[in-house]
Amino acid sequence: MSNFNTNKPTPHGLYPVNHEIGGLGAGFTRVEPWISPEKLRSQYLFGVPLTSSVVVRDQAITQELSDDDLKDFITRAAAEVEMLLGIQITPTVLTVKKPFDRTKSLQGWGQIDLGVKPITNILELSVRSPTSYMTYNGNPIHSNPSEVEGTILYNVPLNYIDMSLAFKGIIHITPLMSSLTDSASPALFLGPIAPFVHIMNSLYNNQQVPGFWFIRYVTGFQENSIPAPVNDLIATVAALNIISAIGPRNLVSGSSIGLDGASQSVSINPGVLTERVQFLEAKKEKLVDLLRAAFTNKVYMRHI
Amino acid sequence: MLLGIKMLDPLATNVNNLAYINQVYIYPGSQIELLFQFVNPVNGQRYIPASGATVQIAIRSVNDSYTVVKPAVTPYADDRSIWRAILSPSDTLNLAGVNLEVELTEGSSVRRVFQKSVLIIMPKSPYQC
Repeated sequence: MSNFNTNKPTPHGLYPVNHEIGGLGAGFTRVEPWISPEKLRSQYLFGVPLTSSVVVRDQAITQELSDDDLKDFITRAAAEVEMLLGIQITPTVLTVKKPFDRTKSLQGWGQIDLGVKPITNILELSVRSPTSYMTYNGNPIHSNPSEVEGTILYNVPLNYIDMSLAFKGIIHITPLMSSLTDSASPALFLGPIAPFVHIMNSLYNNQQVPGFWFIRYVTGFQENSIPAPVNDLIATVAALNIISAIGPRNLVSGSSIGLDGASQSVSINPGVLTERVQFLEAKKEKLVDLLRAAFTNKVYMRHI
Repeated sequence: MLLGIKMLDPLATNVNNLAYINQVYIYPGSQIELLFQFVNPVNGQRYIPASGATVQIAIRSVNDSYTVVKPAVTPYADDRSIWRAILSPSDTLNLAGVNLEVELTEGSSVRRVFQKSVLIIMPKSPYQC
């Protein structure tokens, strides 16, 4: 949990990408809440029996997947989708230290690739010392909680941060202001900047400084607003996992009993759910492709 | 004993027509009643806290100021396993997440229940377009 008293949110909505925030909307809904077991059962597992019945030593053992089980499948599927897409789905506060890169930091408008997408809010962009919490001969040093992540040497005014590529996980420091004494960022060029000038002077001699920038930010889609295609993918992955769990136990595809000849037959088809699995697998591939294109990158390029 | 909770339909008019539900749907900005029962998650038996016990619920957000902590009361004197917490319209306006945290205090004993996926909070209108 974090203190949001000082924060810079992205000026745009995240789905559809870059939509205007604050409007009342056009009466349509492209976002959904967290998927419930009932919706998973009725929309993605329609007609699929979530029971298993086997006979062991003349004893019929029946098992059923409960709604609590389905909730676990949904939670795990969401975590899997986050890994598949390389995005965060639910709001999460992350802290990261990124290197000072001469090209990006001095000539590239302080470009920082946070690596996690999408970014909804920046809480802090600072330069912190590496003097974080440690113990020396059993005695804690820097035990002040505010120093756990290192002492703040300089706080970059959030006004300077450009959020135009935040949905792709990239921020820039662009101090384009109408005047140098912007009232929203007081004392920018007085006290706080003094140690920073000293740091920057020494940086001109370095190509790279590891762990230089400290960033505390919020990633994930706006609270309770999951894009419909992301929910679709979560449910598809959950359905695949559920069918693979119950598939081997639904062996009997048909049975018949004859009266005159006193015959009885049971046909067994282990692949009874294969068709559904194939459809879901194809859908999963398609959705992953579409969502990566929308929210992350399909192709990575870099300058060396 | 391991402690768990089960959500109950708040539309029940008396203790004899209670029904279990999977989750509670919450529309931001509306008043919501959370009704739940303490159970033993291993065998499903109800758990009646000691007389004088107190309960509070918490719905956490990544933003400290949006976290909601509320006391709960026993609406049915005949069954102290059932508790109710009321969230006001301003409480639900910025609710987040799907999990519910419940803290039961019986004398000096404090036990916490962390129930997953029992809240479904609908999206706020600015993000619906």
